[in-house]
Amino acid sequence: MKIIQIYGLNRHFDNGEERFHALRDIDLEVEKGECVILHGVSGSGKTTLLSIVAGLDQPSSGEVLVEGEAIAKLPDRHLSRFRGRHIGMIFQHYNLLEEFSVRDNVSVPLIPLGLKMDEVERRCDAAMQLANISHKARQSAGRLSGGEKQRAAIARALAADPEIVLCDEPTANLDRANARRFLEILGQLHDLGKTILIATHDPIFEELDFPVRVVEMEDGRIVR
Amino acid sequence: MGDSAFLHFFTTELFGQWRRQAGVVLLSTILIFLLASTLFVSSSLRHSLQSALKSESDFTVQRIRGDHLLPVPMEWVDEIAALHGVDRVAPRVWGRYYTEPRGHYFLIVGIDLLEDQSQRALQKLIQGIDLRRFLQGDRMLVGPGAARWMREHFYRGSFSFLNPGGQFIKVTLDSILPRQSSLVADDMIVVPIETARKILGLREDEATDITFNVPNDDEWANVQNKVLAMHYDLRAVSKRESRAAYSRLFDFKGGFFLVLFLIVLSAFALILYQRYSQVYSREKRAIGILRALGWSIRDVLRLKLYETLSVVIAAFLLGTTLAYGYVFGLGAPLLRNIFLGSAEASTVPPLVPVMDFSVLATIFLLYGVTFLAAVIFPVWRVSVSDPKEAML
Repeated sequence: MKIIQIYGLNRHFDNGEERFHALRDIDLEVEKGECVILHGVSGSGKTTLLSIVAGLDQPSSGEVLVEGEAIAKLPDRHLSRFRGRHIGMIFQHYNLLEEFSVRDNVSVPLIPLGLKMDEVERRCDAAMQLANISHKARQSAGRLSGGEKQRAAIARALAADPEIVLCDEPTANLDRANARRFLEILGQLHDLGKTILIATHDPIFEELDFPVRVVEMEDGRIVR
Repeated sequence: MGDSAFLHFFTTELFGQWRRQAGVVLLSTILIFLLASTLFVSSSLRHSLQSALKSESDFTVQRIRGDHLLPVPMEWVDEIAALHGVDRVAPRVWGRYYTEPRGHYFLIVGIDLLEDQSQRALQKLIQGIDLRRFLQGDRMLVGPGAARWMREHFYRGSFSFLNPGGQFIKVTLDSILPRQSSLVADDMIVVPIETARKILGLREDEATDITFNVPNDDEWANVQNKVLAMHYDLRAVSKRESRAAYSRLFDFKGGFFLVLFLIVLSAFALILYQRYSQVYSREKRAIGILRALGWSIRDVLRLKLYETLSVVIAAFLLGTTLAYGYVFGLGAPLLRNIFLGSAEASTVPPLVPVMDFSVLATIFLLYGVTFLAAVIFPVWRVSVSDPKEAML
């Protein structure tokens, strides 16, 4: 079953009379449970593509279907709910709310879903356990190490139990040991049947011990 | 949105950033304190004056030549009493008495046994006094402010007044008027009418002014015209005219403060707007994160609305409570002198607590709406922008 379908996608930015093409004629299909690595140098369009799949950015032209939903056409409220339920995001800079505790950060995507407090608690506990950060639940995010922040961000991405997990340069700010721990968690997510899209230029992902599809990007195009 | 989870998140955010919130609450409290103090003083004085005027007679007749007030001949009393529709005509002997040191004014009011006391407020004040005994000699009842002044200047059982003829009139202190006598009686000295005449330099057939009532409201203008036609140097002032004059005075001073407040409030709103729209990149980033994690624009606005309302309500409660204490507990030092004039500074009356809820509602709306607009509009602008951009 195809969970992400992208056809004829273009994204350009206008700067005065100049036009910058971030994505050109992208066609991509991702099966449910598949792990796809978008590989390419900085500026190749990986992050822009992830942002469009997450509904954080709008395509200039083309069609993007996520779980059969044309997300670019959804109104804000529906798009926000859709993103909250179906897509987990792991950002390069973690993007945690620094003054909040790990538990409060993990609960952020659950709050708009209309869950009761005990259900929110239960899901937070499960996600923190999966990301191996339960022991830091009460600590404020600003006081965590880089690896711990990454795990808190993973727990947050998994809290709503999304089908799709999008990772933008997830190991860019991690040392080797923490990057390998991240790969282990990815393996767990894969075992849970999550669809994973990773934008990276880090060769460490070659060490993944489960099947992955590598999509090479260059100047906004898929080249392989 | 799950309300309990949302409220938990909201309170965590509110108290997690208490340093920032405390700064805003403090500034807001100062603003509300200033406005509420001004309005409390103004309402209290207005209320006291209106109460005093309510107990006054309908008309006061004076004799005026050029710009000088002169004593009124007693025969005018009979002339006015002969008019149809006129009631309770009474001469009054009273006047301001100036004394050194530090330029101080007392209000001398003369009373007698037979007089139908024209001032109902005065009647209340002297309730319980044995008038027969009091009127037998040069004795005085003094208001709380006047008593305090005399004590501070070592006048213990008596005070010698210097009359316009250069003679000293020694008057013995009988008792002190109750503290509740407030605005009308704080610097008042009540003496027998003959003593008052001696102090103020009036003859036996003279009074300071004459008061009378006209029970039928429709006849006020008619009677006033008849009285005015009696003598070329007669002036008849109605209670309504006095009330309007006082209202204009307090509206002017209150309005002046309101304009000042609006200027300060505008500056404050501008600072808030600047902070939320430009300076506070951390706020923008947080909104971007919430949006990227599934919060809709409405969810973000709801969170910020709750946060802002909490700040507004906290500041409002703190500001008005402090203002209440400052005005009615401490007597509004400084501010009171601005309203009453510095010449009265040593005998300013106590401010009677008056709680005007429309005034409180005005403060809340004026301040709350401005504050909300200054915060919510920039938050909305960030919320509707690309969440990815807000996180950068």
